[in-house]
Amino acid sequence: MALRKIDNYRYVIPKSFRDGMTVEGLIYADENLIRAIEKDQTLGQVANVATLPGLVGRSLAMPDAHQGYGFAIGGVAAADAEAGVVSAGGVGFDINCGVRLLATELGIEAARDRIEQTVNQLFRDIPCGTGTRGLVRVSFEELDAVLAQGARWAVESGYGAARDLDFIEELGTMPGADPSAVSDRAKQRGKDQLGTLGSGNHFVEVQYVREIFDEEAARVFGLRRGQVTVLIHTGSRGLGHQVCTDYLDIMQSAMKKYGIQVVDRQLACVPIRSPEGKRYLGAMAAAANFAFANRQMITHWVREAFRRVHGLDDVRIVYDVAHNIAKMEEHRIGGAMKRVLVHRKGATRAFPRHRPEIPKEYREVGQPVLIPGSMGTSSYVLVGTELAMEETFGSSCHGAGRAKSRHAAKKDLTAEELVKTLGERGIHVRGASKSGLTEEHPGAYKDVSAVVEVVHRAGIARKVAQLIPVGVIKG
Amino acid sequence: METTVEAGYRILEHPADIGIEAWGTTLSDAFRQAVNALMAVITDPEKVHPSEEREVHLTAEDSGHLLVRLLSEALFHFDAGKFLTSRLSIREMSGTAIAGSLLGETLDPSRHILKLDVKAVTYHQLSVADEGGMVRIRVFLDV
Repeated sequence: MALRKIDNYRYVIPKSFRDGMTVEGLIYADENLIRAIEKDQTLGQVANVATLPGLVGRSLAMPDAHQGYGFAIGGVAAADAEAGVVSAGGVGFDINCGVRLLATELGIEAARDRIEQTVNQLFRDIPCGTGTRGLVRVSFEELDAVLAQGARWAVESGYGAARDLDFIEELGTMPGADPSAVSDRAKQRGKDQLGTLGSGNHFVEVQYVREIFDEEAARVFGLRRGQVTVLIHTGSRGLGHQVCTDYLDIMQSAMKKYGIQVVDRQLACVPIRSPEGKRYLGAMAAAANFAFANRQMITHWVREAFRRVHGLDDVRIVYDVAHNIAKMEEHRIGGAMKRVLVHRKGATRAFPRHRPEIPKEYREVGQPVLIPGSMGTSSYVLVGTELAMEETFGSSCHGAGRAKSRHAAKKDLTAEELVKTLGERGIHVRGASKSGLTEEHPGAYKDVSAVVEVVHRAGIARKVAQLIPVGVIKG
Repeated sequence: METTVEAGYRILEHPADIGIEAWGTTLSDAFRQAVNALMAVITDPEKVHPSEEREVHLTAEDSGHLLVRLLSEALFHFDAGKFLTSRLSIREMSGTAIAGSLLGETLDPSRHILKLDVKAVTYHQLSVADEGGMVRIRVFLDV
């Protein structure tokens, strides 16, 4: 294996790894995680990405990386804004899949005997599961407003307050969104799915803060030991999936015109400045806005549930981050500032303090980086660092990463056993389907704590708090 | 769904992936089996009646591209219109074009179970290969 170890948390894939690499690959992992990463096609995929035209820096993989389609999940790659390409597969099908953390003023001890009731209420109020339609029907016209405005549309439609927007990446509205670049087919898929959680690894989790690692950052983010929090993990649903499908198809044909050849068809790409590239980015931003609106609506129902069950009025957004997205950003490359399109496929933006892109309330400590675990394990809040700006285009990991196939996971235990096991550990679970639960059981994932430890020790994000689940709803 | 040496499909499993392998003695047969396999990932195809139809007219760069477009078509009708496909009926077909229809019916939750949300059809390790009298297809789904 041609992998070169730089230090305990960094492995380089040299350009000699495969023909056509124009930049090196860099994997963040410790010895255990790199062994897991070497088992599937992740390294080859990181190397394949390094062959894309106009790439700058390195093709990166975070410690939670695993084999994806084209790009590895957990991959980060930046393309020169002028000479580079945009790849629909480099964002993925679930555009702006992401997580949002809410903080309540409840302490876990006072709330514990009403957690089960809370989970039941959430399960009743939030549409979830395979093939479920939303409670809200929007016309095509109104859907265009959702695509243009994102979370702002949701707030103006009565889901939440204007202040919420300050605590969402891009203020909940991705700039450059072009609803006319989103096909009617994508709109037809998305129309009835606004305000739905979906299935697979998406969830709403009730948690509490078990540990604080960074007192100052935790204080600034408004987090304290024992506090009840809620984590929402979902994306742009069928609308985003269709946008990616449509533009992968367009890029398959358009690549010829631009003389681009790729080593894996899922890496299909076009120049950022081409008409197809611009249209994709407009459609992608629109789909990202759908996801921001989706998480905003689910937030509203979470608040209603806490009002009903706990008589609580104030459930605050800590932050909301995308982990499947491409963003135009300025980064220092070889000593000079450059505009680049950063593809984050299963990776989170992790900007340090003093950056204008992060909420002014957080600017003295940095951007919150939210790392969801799988049900039954823990989730983490981290904060972005200056080193991430230097090494990873201000990016960090996004979760635990799958370790077992759904089929294998399902064989491990029955849904009843899972609900019982988690129940014994004080975690109430409601799932729309039995298979949706067993396929997603905690043992099917890598150890999220090990992943977080690597990014923390490598210095590309810093641990702030650990969150422990007490209730989960799954699709 | 009957799987024989001549025509059939099987579901391939990898972490975070679901793949389909489908085969038949002709490209048309293999494509029909691939549609059956996609529907077997989504629901129990035995319970779906071919009582309605959705027209399909597709052209593509090559047979792999055509397959992705065809399966994406079936997936779109399911996700947007709750239309479950029972089988693919082909009127005309070449390696880069297909005309025909998807026969099936609208989801009835009292009769149909839904197994998995398929997000999309991918080009990952996509393969349509003629192995001397046997066409073998491999395609992965994002779930």
